[in-house]
Amino acid sequence: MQEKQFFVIRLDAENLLFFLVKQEKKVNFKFLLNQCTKLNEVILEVKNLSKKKENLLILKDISFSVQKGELVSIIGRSGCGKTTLLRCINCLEIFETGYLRVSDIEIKRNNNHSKHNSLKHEENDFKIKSQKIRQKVGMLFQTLNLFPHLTVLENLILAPIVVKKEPREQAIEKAKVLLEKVGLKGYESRYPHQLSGGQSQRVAIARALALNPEIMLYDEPTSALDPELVGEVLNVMRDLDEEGMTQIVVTHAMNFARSASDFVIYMEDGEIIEIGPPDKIFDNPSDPRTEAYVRLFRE
Amino acid sequence: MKKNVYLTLFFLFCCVFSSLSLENKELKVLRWAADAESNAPYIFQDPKIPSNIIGFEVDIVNAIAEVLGVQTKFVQNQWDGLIPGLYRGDYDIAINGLEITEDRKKEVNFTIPYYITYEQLVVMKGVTDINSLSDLVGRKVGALKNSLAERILRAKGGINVLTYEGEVNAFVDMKNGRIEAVLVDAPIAIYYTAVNPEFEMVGQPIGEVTYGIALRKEDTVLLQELNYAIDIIQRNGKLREILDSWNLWNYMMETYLDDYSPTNVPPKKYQYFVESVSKKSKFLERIELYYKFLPVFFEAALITLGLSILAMFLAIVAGLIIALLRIYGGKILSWLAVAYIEIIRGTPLLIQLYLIFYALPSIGIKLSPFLAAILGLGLNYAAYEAEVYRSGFFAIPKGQMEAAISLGMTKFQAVRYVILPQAIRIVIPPVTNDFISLLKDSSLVSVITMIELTKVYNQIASAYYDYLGTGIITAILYLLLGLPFIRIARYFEKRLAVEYRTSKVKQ
Repeated sequence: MQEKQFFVIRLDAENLLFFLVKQEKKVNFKFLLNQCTKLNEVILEVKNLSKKKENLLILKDISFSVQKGELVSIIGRSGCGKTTLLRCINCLEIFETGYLRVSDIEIKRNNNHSKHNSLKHEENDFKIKSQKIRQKVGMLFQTLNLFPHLTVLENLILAPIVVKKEPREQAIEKAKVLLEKVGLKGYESRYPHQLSGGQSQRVAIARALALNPEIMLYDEPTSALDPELVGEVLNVMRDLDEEGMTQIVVTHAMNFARSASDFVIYMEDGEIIEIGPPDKIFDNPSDPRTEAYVRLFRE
Repeated sequence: MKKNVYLTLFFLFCCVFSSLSLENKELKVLRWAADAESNAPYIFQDPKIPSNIIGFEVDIVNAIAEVLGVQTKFVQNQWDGLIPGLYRGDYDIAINGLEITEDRKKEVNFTIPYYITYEQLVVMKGVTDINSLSDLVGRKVGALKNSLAERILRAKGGINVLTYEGEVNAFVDMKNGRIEAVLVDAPIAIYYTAVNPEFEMVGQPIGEVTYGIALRKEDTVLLQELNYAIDIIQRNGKLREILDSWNLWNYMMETYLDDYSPTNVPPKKYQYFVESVSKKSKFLERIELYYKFLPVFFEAALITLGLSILAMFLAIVAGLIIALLRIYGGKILSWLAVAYIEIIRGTPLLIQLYLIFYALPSIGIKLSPFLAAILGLGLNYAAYEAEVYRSGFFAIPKGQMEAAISLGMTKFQAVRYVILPQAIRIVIPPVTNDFISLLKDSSLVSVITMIELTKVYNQIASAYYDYLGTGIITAILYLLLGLPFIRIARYFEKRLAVEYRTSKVKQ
């Protein structure tokens, strides 16, 4: 039962019904309802998150939440803090104040500590929890950073074996499936230097997926790529969206943000200016600052 | 791989323990030290059988041991280290032309003299205007460092005194015209001029040098025994016989021993030396001689190689740990690592070796010469390797660490599986470079009684007054030792860089 539940969550509501009917199971409505609420489960929650860098407030009071299976685009000018926000979610950056919840792991931070001791205790707590969060969150960077000394396959199985202590055979099995999924079947024994930028990023996505993350974060995944290679990476993200993966993308690819996102976040100067469905953000924003920004891409 | 590492560690462990085992205090074996590099006629290698050590002092030690009914064991040590080595406890007595001086008496006890001699002037053949100390005023004159000769020359005043580590250097300098005369202990002058006819002894004996056997202050019983034995061999004519056979009997010994009888023992050993050394002028004979040396050289080369490999292994392992501490160790550990690197790099290896070998025993840590050499070289090079590693680490893009961390790895796992394997590829060429450099620096460990390649070279070269041929042999051996490692490193470099190479071909 446990197994099936797990599988079920991965499907969206439509497919779920289809699945249950196909299995010719008695439709247990209580169970179905349960699954549906799970689909609407808020998997990421950020509340009043602020971050300072050298006395400069680079994230101001950020709050938003993401439900399971949603694809969220974060857009905004360079230096507006969108990358930093993403890195905070992955705990690559430490934030001073605020609340972060990823799945069932919560981090509460409050900078106004009177005693040094409790601060130290909190740092330790943060360290342990950030480790756990990173295992649930996959991240793709702007720069191509596959491990150059390892083959594609070795890149994929390293973390599962080292971090999750998976048996090697099982990790290889899964890695092959993932490679096929990102369209790189047969590339197992290539080295990263033998791949194009788009292929590298797709392998990097597969590498992150190998840890069965609940959320995928992308920091401008296509901005280092040649224009003709952008599509293949975005398509992989679209496929993942269809499978029900929760994804947050910092991007300058406006067409993608518009066509694929469930909702879009516009940021400026470390603040969230507007959150809304793509149609609203791009066609009819309520804030003049958003309007000014999206107008740049209308022509 | 892991097994090998454990085995090596186990081996090192055993070395430590075997070297720490206590030595037998009871005197059954007379352990005597000298520097076999100190030339004829004192202590030197037999020209016919280079692994044998001969000399008039060897004969005296054997005569003394015979009287006392004990075995002898020779311990090689650098001449400068003979007295410090006594207090390390590696041997019980030092005998090697050690002049009995007030300064030395403060540190060690001396036996009654076993030989008295004088300083002798040596000039180039045909020089007629130098016959006495007064003739030297205003000229450049060579002497051995810290010798009576140097003190005599300085006391005279007006003489430009140049001091040398070895007499051969002084003589070569005179041949090259840099100095006009050399003042040395008579035995040196007698033997050197005998085989180098371009020099000659001139003038009257100058000053008086008395040689005694040095031993630790606390060994008073041993001192009595030695004095007794020396007295016996003086009385029974054994000492005279030895000195005669080496052509060293002189008027000072006549008065000292009150023995004015004419010499009746032929100077066999002197002749043996002169014949075997001066005969080497023919090219083929010389080659034959070198051929005889080869086993001795090879043995020493093996020691140099083994020592260097073990020291480098230590340097690579310790250097990695230090580099990791410096980069990831947090404030205190990182500070300690920096301090270690700066102190070790900023002080001479020679001093470090002396400290490990001579100073550590005073706080209860007594290491065997081999172990001390490995530790000294290894820990010194560890500081350099740490910096090499650090540059390797910094060459890895920051994104690699972040990618690994974001895959849920701990920092340690990220370093172990992602950063380190890449850094090692980068540091292979500089580490090989350092190994070659260590191979040659290993010659320094001769100061702590290790007999390695350079030491053997010095010993043989000084015994035959032949620095050129033996020097070339030594240089070739060093080259041969280093070459395979350059090859191996190049092979690994190529193999590890295979992914980069193929990518270049493709693009």
